[in-house]
Amino acid sequence: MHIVTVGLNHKTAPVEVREKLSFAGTRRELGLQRLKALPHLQEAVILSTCNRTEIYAATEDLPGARQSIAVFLNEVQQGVETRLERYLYNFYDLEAVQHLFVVASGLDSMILGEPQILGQVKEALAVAQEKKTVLAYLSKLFQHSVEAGKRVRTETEIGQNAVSISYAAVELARKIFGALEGKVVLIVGAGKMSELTVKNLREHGASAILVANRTYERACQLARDFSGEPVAFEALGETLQKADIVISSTGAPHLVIHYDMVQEVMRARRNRSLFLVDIAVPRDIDPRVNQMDNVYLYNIDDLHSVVETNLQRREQQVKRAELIISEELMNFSNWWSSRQVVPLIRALRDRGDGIRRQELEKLFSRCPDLDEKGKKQVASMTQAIVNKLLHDPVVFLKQAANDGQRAKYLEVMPELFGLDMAKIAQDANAREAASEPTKVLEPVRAPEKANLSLAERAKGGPLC
Amino acid sequence: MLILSERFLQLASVSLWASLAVYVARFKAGTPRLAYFGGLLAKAGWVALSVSLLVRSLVQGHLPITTFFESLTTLVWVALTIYLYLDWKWRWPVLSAFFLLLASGGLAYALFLPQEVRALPPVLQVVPPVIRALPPKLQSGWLLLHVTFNFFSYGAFTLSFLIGIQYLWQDYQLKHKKFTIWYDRLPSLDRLDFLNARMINWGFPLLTLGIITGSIWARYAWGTYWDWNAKESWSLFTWLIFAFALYFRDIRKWRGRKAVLFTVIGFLAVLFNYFGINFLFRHPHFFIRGS
Repeated sequence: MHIVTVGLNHKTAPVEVREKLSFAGTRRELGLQRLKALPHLQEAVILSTCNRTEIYAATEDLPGARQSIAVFLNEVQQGVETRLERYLYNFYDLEAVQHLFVVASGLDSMILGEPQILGQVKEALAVAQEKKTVLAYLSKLFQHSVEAGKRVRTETEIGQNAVSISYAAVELARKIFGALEGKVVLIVGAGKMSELTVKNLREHGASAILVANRTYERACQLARDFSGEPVAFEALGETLQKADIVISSTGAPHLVIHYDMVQEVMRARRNRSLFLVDIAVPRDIDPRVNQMDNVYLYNIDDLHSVVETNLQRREQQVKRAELIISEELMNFSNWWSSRQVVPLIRALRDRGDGIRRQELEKLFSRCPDLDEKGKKQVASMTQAIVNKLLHDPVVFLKQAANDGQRAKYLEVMPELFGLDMAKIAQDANAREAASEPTKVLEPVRAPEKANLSLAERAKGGPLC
Repeated sequence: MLILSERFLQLASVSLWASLAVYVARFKAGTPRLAYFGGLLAKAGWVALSVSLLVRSLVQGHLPITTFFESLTTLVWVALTIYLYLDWKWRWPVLSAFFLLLASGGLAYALFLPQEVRALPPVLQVVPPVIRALPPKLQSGWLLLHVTFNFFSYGAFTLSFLIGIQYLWQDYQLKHKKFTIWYDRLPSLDRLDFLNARMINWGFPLLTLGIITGSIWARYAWGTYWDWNAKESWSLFTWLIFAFALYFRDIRKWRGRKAVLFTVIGFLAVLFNYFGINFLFRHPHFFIRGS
């Protein structure tokens, strides 16, 4: 059995092409049914996100399967893109496995280490299972890739550190205050950014939201949106005494929060820490307040550079992630080759033993005066002959299983010894089903969107 | 039998160093699994050290606090005990790495001390021979209290110092927006501040009691509560630093950097009291001849 992957992603194809080949909902289900009907494809899974579409298939005939998938993709996009081939990449066997592991770990994602892909891989398998287009090989492959992705996520820090502005602000707040439970957030002015940040802060436990705006009516309105409490803009000084986290984004052309104001506030706060986020341009908060003890001021550039550093740090984790992937690849390849070779060895032994038993029976019926002791001796002697004869081929098979070069001999084996290949496969499947019931996948959780950077959103980039 | 104590001490030292190595690895890798093994090794170190000190006490018939070497190992034991409590309560692998560096360093230092330095008395005092003849029970009772209180206060101060350093480093990173791997690994400022203060809250009353019981012991041993020698003066100075630290924190509501700086300075004073005074103000050979 072989595995083939044909696909395209954000690196190889522009969005105009990707969107024509994206599979969501019923489109994917129909696609799977179509794939099942095409020749040479024993199993098929469609992995489709906004940044990639990949078809995974298990087949006995690699070129044929490749051809079938190309036909399928051309059908799907109705021949609009005449040069589809040049956007496609192909992976075969272990390369395909490796590719899926890399994808599932988030190493191939647009935002390195983003977490949604793991859920999407699970979902791809779940849909294929539902449509019954997967059997042992691809189920195992996808389950294993989810395991690999999880390992990468837990054993490296590839998914850590915020890579969006609003999330970076939340992380900073958590490094200052620890838990955000019971912390008071003050919004001065309003904007998309403040809204996102407040949402994230609230998710992390911040409870009270205060909203100040130049006009009180607007403050009331915003307070409703944030389900917070409006406060008078004139009383900003007093409000600052209550707030722990301040997000300022007014359109004011001058400073709104002054040095003296903060100094006074800190005295009144008895030096409890104050985290100020100034995302307005021109700035709202006097930059000198950062020099005060227990006051932490971040402006939009600071937050951008935090995100930048975090991305670099994710990149430093790639090497470790790749190590884990190659380990998992090894595990998978062992499973795969043993799956190919174990039934073969079993069939070979059965064949030898079958012949031996037949011949023994013949002999015993021909020589009735053979006593028990003699029978035993003959039996053990024939056993020894069969064992010795099969020893070298078995050793060879075991070695060949983990050696691509000699893998082709595996196919010769059945012919050489007159083994029934179909029966072997059937046997293997039966054993597989008995020993390892296909895991029921846990339900796919709604993907988190928090980590997508704003820049991505602004670009109208995909939200998936 | 003392060799047994020595062996266990070496064992403790080895497992603390191993624990340190594991925590450093965990620091680099960020994998929580390693912290578990680090914790096991640290606990093993604690057990070995406890056995070592117990054997020594049983053999000698008194607590291992009569020489510089003994007091140092006991001090490490006390600090290790407090640390294990904190670790159990707060799960804090970075603190572990810091602390274990100090603890394993302390033990290694003790182990490699030359014999004549090992034998130095822990508190280099001129003890008038006449008064030495006092009932030993009375003497050792107060002495025991004095040493216990002081050691536990030193242990608490050591941890407050380590936590304080972490606070200052984390604060610096947040202020200057320079984020290193430390930023990820260290806990939040609030927690560091809280625990730093808590350690002082434990340490200060203990130090106070230590000084009081010490002066009572001095009354019995030397006939005077206080004789303004270098050790005593410096102890008072240390006590004052922590008293101020508490005053500013609790009454003046200082928080964060300044309050933490106070405790760091306080610990440096303790350190000087423990090592510096002993070596600077009295020539060690004097005592070898004297005893």
